[in-house]
Amino acid sequence: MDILSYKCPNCSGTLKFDSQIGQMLCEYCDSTFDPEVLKKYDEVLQEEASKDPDWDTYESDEWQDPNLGVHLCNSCGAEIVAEETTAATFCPYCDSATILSGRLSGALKPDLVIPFKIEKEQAKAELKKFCSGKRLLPSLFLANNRIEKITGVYVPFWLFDCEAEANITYDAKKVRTWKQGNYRYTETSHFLIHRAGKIGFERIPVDGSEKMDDAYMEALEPYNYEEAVDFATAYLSGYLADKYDVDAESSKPRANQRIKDSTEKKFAETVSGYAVVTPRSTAIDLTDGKIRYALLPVWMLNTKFGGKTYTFAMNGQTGKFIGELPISKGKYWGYVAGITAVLSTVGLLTVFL
Amino acid sequence: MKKLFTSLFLFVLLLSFYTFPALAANVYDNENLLSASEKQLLEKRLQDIAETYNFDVAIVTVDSLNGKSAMEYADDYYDENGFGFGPDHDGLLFLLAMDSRDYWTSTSGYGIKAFTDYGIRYISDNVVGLLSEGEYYKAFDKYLDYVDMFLAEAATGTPFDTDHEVITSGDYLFLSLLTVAISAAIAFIVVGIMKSKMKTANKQRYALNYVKDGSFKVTSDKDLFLYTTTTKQKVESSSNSGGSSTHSSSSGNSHGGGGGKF
Repeated sequence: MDILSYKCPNCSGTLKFDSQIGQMLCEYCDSTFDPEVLKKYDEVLQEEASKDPDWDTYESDEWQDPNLGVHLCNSCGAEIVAEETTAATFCPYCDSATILSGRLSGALKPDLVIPFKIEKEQAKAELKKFCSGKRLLPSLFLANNRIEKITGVYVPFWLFDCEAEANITYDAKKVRTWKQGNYRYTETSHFLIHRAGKIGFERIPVDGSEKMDDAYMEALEPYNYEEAVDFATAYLSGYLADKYDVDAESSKPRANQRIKDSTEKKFAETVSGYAVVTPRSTAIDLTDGKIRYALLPVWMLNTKFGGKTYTFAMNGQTGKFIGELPISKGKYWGYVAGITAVLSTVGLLTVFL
Repeated sequence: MKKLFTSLFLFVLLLSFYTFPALAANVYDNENLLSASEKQLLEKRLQDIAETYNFDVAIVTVDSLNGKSAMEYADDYYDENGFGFGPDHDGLLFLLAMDSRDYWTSTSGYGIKAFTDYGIRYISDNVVGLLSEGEYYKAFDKYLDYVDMFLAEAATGTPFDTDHEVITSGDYLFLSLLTVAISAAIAFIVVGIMKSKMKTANKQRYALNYVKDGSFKVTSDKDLFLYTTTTKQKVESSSNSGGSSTHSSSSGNSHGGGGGKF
């Protein structure tokens, strides 16, 4: 076999062939290697690097419908699509009551929609449940009747389909310790792990609304796409819809990130039996990228409290409820002080008695 | 009349001998390290200890050990002078030898039980500094403080030992502060959990709900063994055993003890 100049996997020093032991020897860290192993090691490391993901560009029809109007919020600039007959009295995003009406123009027609399944009453009940038992909630928060303002909104989402091809290497260690005489021995075995394979993703949603916090929309997942239908204006009846203001192009990075993280996780789960596993190189190629535009149902309440806007949202299909409640500083420190005092008292009694 | 007085006096003297065996003043300062008044103060303390605990304490300073080890010298001095109360000769002797700068504590009878190896080491460590500085009176005074403290603890049934260590007021302060700090940490964690329940809107890192059924395929998996490194570490075997180790002196009596150089 040909002995190239191999680098030591342990310290990157240059390896020399030691004819006495028939192994490659590193003069810097005294590791020895089987030449065959090194050959395989190099083969694994020379696998191809990743390319940029290729997504189709999204093209769709203009959405023109004489029955639809646009409500424009004077305060935050939200453009809300609704049937001409639906009069929005306040903006669901900023709670402001300055709404102008206009005609719909320059919007895209959604490919699919998941209709609302959960009624307003149920959304109200969920919000009440979310607030109950929260000891840090300011007492005044529930005083005004905010719950009435809960609104059903169809939020625009970009749905991403793609196939991912992964080529990942990991460094892994197995550790064995034992005692002999007055010494404790630690033996670390080093491994190079290689995994390659495929995985496909369907309809990963990324929200296309500037005013919608991405964290909120992701927390509402998952939606069940089995119930998705082709879009028809009739589904908007009684609800509001938001026009997307983040285009597909700007939504791609988030989809890519989630696909990469998920792919890494799935492949990492196939590496087992080691004490430590650290990714060494990751190459993930995305192909067959398809993008679709969908409206997904969300019950929403934006409400101001103490100069800050708090948002609550509920998945209009599954009823999953999420949100952020204000925290009373006084109650927060009161609880910290109270718990500290009780535990300290108990602790000091056990120390001194 | 005079005779009566004399006999009465003798009787009282005998009586006092009988009740206070510690009248034998147990400070043998052959090296004159102490002034007369200091010697008196120490003797008063030895008597108090003897009366309170029925325990004999002797302090001895000598010039040289005459070729014996500090341990042998202290044990023999104790036995030959008949120190210690009761059948087991309960007591201890603290010896300083000036030319070799040795100090030694020799225990006997109840002393072996009350002053464990840990205890003698603890007292020595706290007194040796004063001895080195030549503050002999202060050192002996402090030594007796500890003797008092250890006897009081032994009287409760559990003498100070490796599993029942001395806790000083400084330790108590530290323990109290630690207790409060740990309590506060727990409080912050508990309230932190309450706080985290206030916000349920969190990003999702993964998209595993959207994996196409049956699309996950591993086409290549290699686990390549590279090399092994072995390191060894010396394990300190800590002999942390409690109790008192004893030995027999030349006269066959059992003694415990410990000491060092100052």
